Amino acid sequence: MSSPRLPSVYRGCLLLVASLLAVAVVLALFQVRTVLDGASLINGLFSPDPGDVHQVLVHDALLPRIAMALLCGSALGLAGTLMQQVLRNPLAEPMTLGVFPGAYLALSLFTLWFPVQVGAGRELIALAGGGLAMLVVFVLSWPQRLAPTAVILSGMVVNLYCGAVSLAIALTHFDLLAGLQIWGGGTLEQAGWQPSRHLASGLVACVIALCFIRRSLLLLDSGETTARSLGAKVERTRLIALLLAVVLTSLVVAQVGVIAFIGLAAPSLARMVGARTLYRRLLWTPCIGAAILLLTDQIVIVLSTAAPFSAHLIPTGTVTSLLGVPLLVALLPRLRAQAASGWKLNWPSGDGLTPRLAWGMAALLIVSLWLSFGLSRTLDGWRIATLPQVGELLFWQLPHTVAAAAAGTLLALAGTLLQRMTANPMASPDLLGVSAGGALGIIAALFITGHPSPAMMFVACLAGSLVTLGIMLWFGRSAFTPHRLLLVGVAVGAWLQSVVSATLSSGDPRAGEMLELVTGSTYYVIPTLAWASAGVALPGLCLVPLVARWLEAFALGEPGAASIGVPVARARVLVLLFAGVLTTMATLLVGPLSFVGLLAPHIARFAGARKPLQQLWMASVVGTVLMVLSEWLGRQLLFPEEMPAGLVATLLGGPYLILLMVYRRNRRA
Amino acid sequence: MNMIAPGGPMNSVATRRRVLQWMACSLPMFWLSQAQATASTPERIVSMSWELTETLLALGRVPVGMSMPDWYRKTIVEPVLPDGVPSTGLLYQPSFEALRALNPDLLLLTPGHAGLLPALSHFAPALILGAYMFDPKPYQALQVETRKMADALGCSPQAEALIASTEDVIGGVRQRLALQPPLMSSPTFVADAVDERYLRVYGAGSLFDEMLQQLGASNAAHLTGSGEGRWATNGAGFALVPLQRLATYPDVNLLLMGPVPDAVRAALQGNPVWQAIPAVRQRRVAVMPVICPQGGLISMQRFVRAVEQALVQTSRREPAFV
Repeated sequence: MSSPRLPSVYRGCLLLVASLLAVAVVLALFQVRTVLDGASLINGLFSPDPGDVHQVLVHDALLPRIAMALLCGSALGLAGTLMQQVLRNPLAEPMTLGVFPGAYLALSLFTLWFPVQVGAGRELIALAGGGLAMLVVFVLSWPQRLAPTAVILSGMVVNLYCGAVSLAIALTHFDLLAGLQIWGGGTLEQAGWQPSRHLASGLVACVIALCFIRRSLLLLDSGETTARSLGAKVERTRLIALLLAVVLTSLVVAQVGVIAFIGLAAPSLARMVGARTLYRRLLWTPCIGAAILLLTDQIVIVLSTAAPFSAHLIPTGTVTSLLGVPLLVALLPRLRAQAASGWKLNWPSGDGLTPRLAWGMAALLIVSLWLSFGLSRTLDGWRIATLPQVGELLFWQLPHTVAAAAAGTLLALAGTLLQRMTANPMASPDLLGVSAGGALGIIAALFITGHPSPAMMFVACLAGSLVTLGIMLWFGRSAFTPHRLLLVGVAVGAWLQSVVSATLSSGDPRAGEMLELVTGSTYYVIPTLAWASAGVALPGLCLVPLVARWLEAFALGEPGAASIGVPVARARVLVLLFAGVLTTMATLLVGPLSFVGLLAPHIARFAGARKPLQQLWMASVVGTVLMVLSEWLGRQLLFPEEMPAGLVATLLGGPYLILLMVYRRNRRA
Repeated sequence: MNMIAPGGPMNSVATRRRVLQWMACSLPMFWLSQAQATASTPERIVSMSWELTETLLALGRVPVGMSMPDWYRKTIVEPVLPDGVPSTGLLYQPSFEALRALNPDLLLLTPGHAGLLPALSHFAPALILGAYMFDPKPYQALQVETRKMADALGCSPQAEALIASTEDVIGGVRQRLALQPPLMSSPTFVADAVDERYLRVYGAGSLFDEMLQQLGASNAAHLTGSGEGRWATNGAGFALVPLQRLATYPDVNLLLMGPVPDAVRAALQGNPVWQAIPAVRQRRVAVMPVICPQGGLISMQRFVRAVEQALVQTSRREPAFV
């Protein structure tokens, strides 16, 4: 005899969806009533009189907005589920895999070069951009066999890179400042039903395609070998599923922009109320996603008509971004810890620090310094400066070159320390979250005091970094897992980007100062700060030999290191603190982003450094050269307009990083 | 210093300028020094603000260098900038190499450049103007600053002539408009079409608003009807609103500041909410020429003349912009 009650999982999901929808519908009805202002509801809903603006508003603005929220929420929830199923990664979603930033960046570039917007073309461009970004994420995490942590880290790297490219576009082409909203500026404002119809037909097509692969997708749950032996075409299924997810994301991006973290929230909620099998998840996640997005959008509508916000703009995508990052942090424990030795240090064994290498490095350093002072563009073309001419501009150029050199050294040292300590090749000060925490501290100081002095900014940066460090140490207090450390850093970095995006799109007057910080410009570095940074970098270089022995021991793994007498827990904390202080100083100089800390250790290794001390010193020289050259290039590329040093370093560093990863893979094979 | 808000999707020329203005404006204002020019009148002037360049050209002097001259030619069309004026780089990040090559006598800066003052004073004394853009009564402040610039350049008679001619133009337009009461009977919105969903409406605190008041026209952004209070505006005097906000005003003229990009124009024509706005349905929309909302006295002369033409156009209900 069958029970008359629904199974509990259905009850759970139904209850969740119904309650979310109920609140949203109440808010929506309230909106409809306000806008109608007495006009006929039936006419408003079905056949508006073109002369009555209230009916037109209900029919062509409010209702399409509701429909769009439901459709986008479903599409994103579905995309998130597919990605999580294929990658077996509970944190996979269009934002963390870089699909959203890649698609939006591709669209921005396309709109820049072809301002007339062709309808279907937008989706194809977004698809190409999103697909390319996801491909890069896989390439970067391939050496670690697409382990979940590696994928998330690589996704963050791709996100940061896309953000940097869009900033560069904004600096050079002021027309496209919308590119700054790459971290969630999607607005659901609608005018007419055309976009909703378009999205609905795309969604239906994807669902139909999904039906064809649902059985194979289900078999993936039981593991690869089982699935293959049962006849499922594993690779093809994975590819099609990921493609469908990217298509769904592109449909959303082409119509409304970036709405992040719905693809994370909906599957998590579905799992929490008990939908475990694939079919149940595929059924309920779109419903939950639709309900979440509708509720969020209705709340945003209510907020934006309130008095304090009425002169500003609150994009829905920004709100989901701000709320989604804490969710990301809360879900971090679900990520299974990977094996401690995820990365074998099996570089081609180098010769160490040969005299030839040392002289080569010194020569490179001298050349880059000469370039910085001696060779530049002027109004009449290139010229090599004579000594008196160098002297004329020395008051300006010297602090800048010193700041760039110091920042390069600091970041390279911090990056090497982190990579050695966590045995993860993607560990970098940028991803550690310390620089993001410092930047958040500076932003907080900006908003609290209005015009902070440089001393106050330094204190705020230090406070922010220390708080972030404290959070990370607290997270790892019982069992220090390097991957957990990096993931917290990712979350803090994501939070920074969301805050930046929210501030920019809200229209707050202080947004300009904040933007200046985020782009990483050394332009405003005052001489005091430059000398202070040199004052931190040089002692840092001198203190480094003290930790070199510990770093060598870490390569043996935790038990091995403990067995030769290294106080592992204390050593980790000290090394982390050291890296944190170095990064804080670098953030003040070049902002929270530049890939120097990620690249310099790799390049040093590549050039032949073997022992940690050699790698540290060589990496610091490489980092200095990279930053000084980036600063120089930033001044010359678009003369007389200047690009920030941190931005140039990021733009050049990204492709180089991909090349490095590909080359490493080939060498290993 | 109160800095301007950006607004959201940004296609309009004026907002680009706003965002540029914050784009690198950061360090605290140590002092608002207004260093006097050297005893002899300065010959080589470098200007780091488009609006100040307009006043400079109106006083009859040409700068030897300025920030991004192409932007000036696009956004502040008159007075015409002669060809061959080199660029000194971004608005708030001038290239010191370029400045060294130009060898200036006087630098025209805005309060946003205060952080760079110690470094820039290596080249030449600086005159800091441009605070009128954030003044609650910008027109008066603009006149004061024009006189200040003329004093520094040694051409005070030209400043007086410029101020007097601006007053004449405004007075003339006001008299002509007063002779045609039907033109002035309805309130007017002055707005920028940022994209097909949002408008930037100029309200209290903007130069456009003061000009409308001087002409005797009523700015619809001050209306208290339909439950709307006086529109909240930001430090620069405008508010970023969705199209719907205009829907509750049945009897207004709408003046759109140029340029309206073709893509936006096409999108608006296909937007049913736009088509349902009373001002659009009654064909009381006119497109104005490109005028900088924070420009100098010449820009304001062009504005009042353009308002007169636009009001005549809207009164005729011509389908100039559907």
